[in-house]
Amino acid sequence: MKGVVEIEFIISIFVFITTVSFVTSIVISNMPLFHGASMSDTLKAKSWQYSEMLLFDEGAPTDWQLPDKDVKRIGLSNGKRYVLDKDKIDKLAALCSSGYASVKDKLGLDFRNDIIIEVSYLDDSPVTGSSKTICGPSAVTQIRPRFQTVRLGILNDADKTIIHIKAIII
Amino acid sequence: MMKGFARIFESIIASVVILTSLTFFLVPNIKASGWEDATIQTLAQDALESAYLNGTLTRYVNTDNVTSLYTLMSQVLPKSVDFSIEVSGTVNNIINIVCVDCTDDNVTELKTMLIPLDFSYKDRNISIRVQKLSLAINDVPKDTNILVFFGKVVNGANGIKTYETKINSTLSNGGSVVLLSDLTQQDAQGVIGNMFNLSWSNPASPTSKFDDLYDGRKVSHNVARYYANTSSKNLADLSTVDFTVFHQSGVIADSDLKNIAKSTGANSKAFVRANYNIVNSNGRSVWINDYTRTDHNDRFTKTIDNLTKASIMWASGEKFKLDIIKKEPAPVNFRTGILVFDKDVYTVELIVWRIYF
Repeated sequence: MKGVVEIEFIISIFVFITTVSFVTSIVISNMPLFHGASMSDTLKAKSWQYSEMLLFDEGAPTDWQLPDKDVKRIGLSNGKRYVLDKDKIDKLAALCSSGYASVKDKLGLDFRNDIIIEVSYLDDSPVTGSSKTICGPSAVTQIRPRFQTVRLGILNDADKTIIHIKAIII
Repeated sequence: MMKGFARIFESIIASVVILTSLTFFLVPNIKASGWEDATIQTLAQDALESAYLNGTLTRYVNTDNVTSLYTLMSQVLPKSVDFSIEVSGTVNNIINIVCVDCTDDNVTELKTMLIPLDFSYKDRNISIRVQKLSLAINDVPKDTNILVFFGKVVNGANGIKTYETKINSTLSNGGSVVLLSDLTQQDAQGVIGNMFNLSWSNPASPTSKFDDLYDGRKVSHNVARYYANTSSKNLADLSTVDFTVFHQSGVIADSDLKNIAKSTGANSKAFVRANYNIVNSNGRSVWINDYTRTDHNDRFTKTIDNLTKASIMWASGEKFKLDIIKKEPAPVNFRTGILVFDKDVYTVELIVWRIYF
């Protein structure tokens, strides 16, 4: 009876394969959930990180808002904690309108993410130009997940006006 | 043959049971990251820092402008949260005193000692409000900061002992008790001694000074700051101030942080002594030895009147809320604070909680 396998052996193999397949399918079906949570946390962390950078970092060079300066890194602080330089906000808006890609590069964002930076007074009116959004891609998809971090700081004007600064990572 | 099928059937049932139980262990367990909470806390901290740096926070605290402070915080915080603002480390803007079982004469005398009742402290308007109340038939009003006992005897009995339960309840809620009275050894070893943290030895010379003007841990330093400001002096000037018209005291000036005025030299006696964190880590008390009060224009009496007022300012609890309406924070709340360096140094805390859970 060479070549003939007992029915018990066949069934045990079948049960084993079924078990392994079942466990594998459950693990695989959970992967998108974990991946989604991880992506979401990464977005949140990046959003917070960029809000910190914009609010507390002066950028490089520290006077990058001046004409003819080679901007290496972008930060809106004037050097004091929570104090934002109006000229740097204006310069960032100008840089962004002439080339979002280069600003994104100076912010250190890779191809997977985009950033929208909004700066407004407490009554929601824009601090510079006619729009609250001082930087962002020209076209924004609404279906990609996004996370925003809202921060508060003061302008370096005579009134030390409190402003909102919003970093939205897509 | 049937035996073989039974085994196969058994093994299939066993595998189904195993597979079913596996689903229990393979449920994805994704914990909340807490970013939403962190975002609210960060925004609350930003709000305090920004309001402090642009000067509005100190201006609104100094002018007691709760409406503008509420409007500002409402603008900067999300609509889904409510908040409460608490100031600590400086005298309350309104000090509500209940003079326990006092006569009209007692109230008049107390007001004379504390005059002026509306005054300015470091550009802040402070108001002391005194009302008399019979504790035997009334509960302590909720907004009371200090229960004042004008003498230890109330209605022929020891007032502190008679109303111990109500006093403890007030202390537990963060209120204070002030006793102006000469004491005996029996008092110091009884309920009064326990509440005011007093111990006794033989009475001695009534001349005394501030215990310590510069040690920030000591109550005497904090009272001296108030004393200096209300008497238009500098802290350094107070080293020459003597309190000479106290009655004799046998209360020992223990080597701790609680003496306010004590005699100098060895075996010194306390004439004004504080206690704090009395019930459930809450509540303050001040015992003031009685003094010659026949003429409040007399400069020696005036000196101790000022000391009494400064002690009352400390006993106010140095903690008050700047809310437009009375609020109780939700059980789950986030607390952020900032140390304000204005003409006075104090802490402003912003307590934020979600309206919807």
